[in-house]
Amino acid sequence: MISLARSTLNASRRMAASATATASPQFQLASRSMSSEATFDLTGSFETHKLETAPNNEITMSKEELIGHFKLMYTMRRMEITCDNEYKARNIRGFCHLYDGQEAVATGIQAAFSPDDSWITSYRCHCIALARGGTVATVLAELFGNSGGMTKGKGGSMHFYSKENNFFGGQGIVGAQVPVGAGLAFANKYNAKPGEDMNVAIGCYGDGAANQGQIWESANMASLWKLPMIFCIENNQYGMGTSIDRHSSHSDYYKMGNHIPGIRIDGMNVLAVKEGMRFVKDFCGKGNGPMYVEMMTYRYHGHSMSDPGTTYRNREEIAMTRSTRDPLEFVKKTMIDAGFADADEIKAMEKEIRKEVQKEVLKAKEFPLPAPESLFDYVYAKDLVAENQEMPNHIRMPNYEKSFWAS
Amino acid sequence: TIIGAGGTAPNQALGAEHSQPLHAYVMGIPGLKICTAASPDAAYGITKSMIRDNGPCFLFCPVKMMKESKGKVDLDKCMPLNKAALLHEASQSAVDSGNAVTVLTYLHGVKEAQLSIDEIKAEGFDIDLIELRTLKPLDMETISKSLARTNKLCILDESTKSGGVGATISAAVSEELFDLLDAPVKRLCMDDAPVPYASSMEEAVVKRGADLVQGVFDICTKKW
Repeated sequence: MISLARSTLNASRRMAASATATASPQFQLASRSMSSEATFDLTGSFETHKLETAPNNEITMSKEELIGHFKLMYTMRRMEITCDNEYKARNIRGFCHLYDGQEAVATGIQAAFSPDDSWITSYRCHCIALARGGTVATVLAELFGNSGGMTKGKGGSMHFYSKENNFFGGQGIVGAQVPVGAGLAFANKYNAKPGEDMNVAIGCYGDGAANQGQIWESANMASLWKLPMIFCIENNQYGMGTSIDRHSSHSDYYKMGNHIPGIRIDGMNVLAVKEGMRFVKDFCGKGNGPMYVEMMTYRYHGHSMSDPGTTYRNREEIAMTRSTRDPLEFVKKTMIDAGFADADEIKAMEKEIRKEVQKEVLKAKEFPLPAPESLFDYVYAKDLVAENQEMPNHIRMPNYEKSFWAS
Repeated sequence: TIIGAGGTAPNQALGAEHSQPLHAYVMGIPGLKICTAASPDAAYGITKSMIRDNGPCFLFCPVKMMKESKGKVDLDKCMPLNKAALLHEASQSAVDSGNAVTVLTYLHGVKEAQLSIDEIKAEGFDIDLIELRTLKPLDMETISKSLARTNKLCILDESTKSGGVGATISAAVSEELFDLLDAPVKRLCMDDAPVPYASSMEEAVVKRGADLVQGVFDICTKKW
């Protein structure tokens, strides 16, 4: 068991070592004097498959941006720890799958994407719900089962959703979100305006889900129809309690698309995730077809709150990851090295966020319980055809004369 | 032989996808034998028979009872794949006064029903509790024997109103045992809506012991 854990750890260590060795940022002298923008080296953060181009080996980021990323990630971390405590206090029931350790993935994707890109993910979705239009209060209220929650208390931990923010869940069944994601990509391609890049769709799933038959099927269709679909494997080394060596005959998930290009990104480095996803979004949005993205990441908690997380991996591994590859520590170090903030400022930010999160939790507890009559709300789609709704002009019906085809 | 721990337990707060009744979805597949077991002896006996059986079989066990359910097991005994089990018989006096109801249930409903027997008796009623160990084929013989005594049927069903297990049973009973019924079949089942996560709402959707007590009361006092 330990030797297996070590071999997977070594694979991720190799990637991490090359990333962290060069990740103490080397910035150009010109920007140093301003201390409001810096360029960071990303060598070793990417491995590509069937690609002639690759993400840049460096990224320039402003002080505001990086601090913003840190604040979002720290909020995510505090929120997940709060969920842990609230679950143990039985204020949250059912299943609860925590995302701490993986914050850089969600933050980096959100930073690279536009609000019009579609995002669908698995049940490990609290932080992505937060990033996509949620607040700590609406997320926690949902977990408490109150009407103030993102899905009005009816969804719970696994069924977050926000259509106006193009966040499509929060899905309970392993791997089932991926064909739906391919459908979202299809919709984006269908609705794309000629001459512009398409909005992309990303379907996040775990290493445990990666061998689901439906994923291979949707990859086939996405490739055939050149859909702007991103198959994003959040590889945290374990499918529930089974390490990747024991559940997958092939662990290079970014190569699983065969002819479909793929890229492996160091998922503990938010800068690498952002630059990598910028590259992927550009590639897919221009109609080159889908891409497989493998995020090398790690989760500190067990699979869910009913899993201590130590029966299939040793504590040494968890502690080792926390001390050498923690995404928050990395961002903090990056900010200090770039002169964006010093240790005291960061401590102040953390304290502020801790207080904020606590306030939001109390706010979440105050919402009323959902009304029983709301059970039948949203079971059927509202009648979408208003009398004078304007159809986009590539649709021929109901008025052919008005459509693009008549000209 | 496929054995799955599932069902839709009351008060589990798992949300829509984990509360879907797979046992209802497979009812229509021809050629399957579908059984449920809510106790170790039933699980053991039915599994033995299913393994020896030449056709495809499905055994459902109640996921939220797997750890706590304890009991004696008759080693080497194979149970029949077409017999329901009478777990509790209504007293003759209740039957004579018209205050007895035949209750059909399975999976988590078995525990819910057993725990509510005392309350039902306190209200002045009684039940013939039948655990439907086999959903397909249905054991109409056991059901009709009990129905001949009570003339009233109540189903505590952990599937939905449309296309659920209770719907199939209710239809079969009205077609084959119509003359034994003094009242319409009472079905305590889930609404046709995604099961909500909030426990306050889940209470109304997933029927449990308290609903059975109310159901027995309603059917005996002619509220239908």
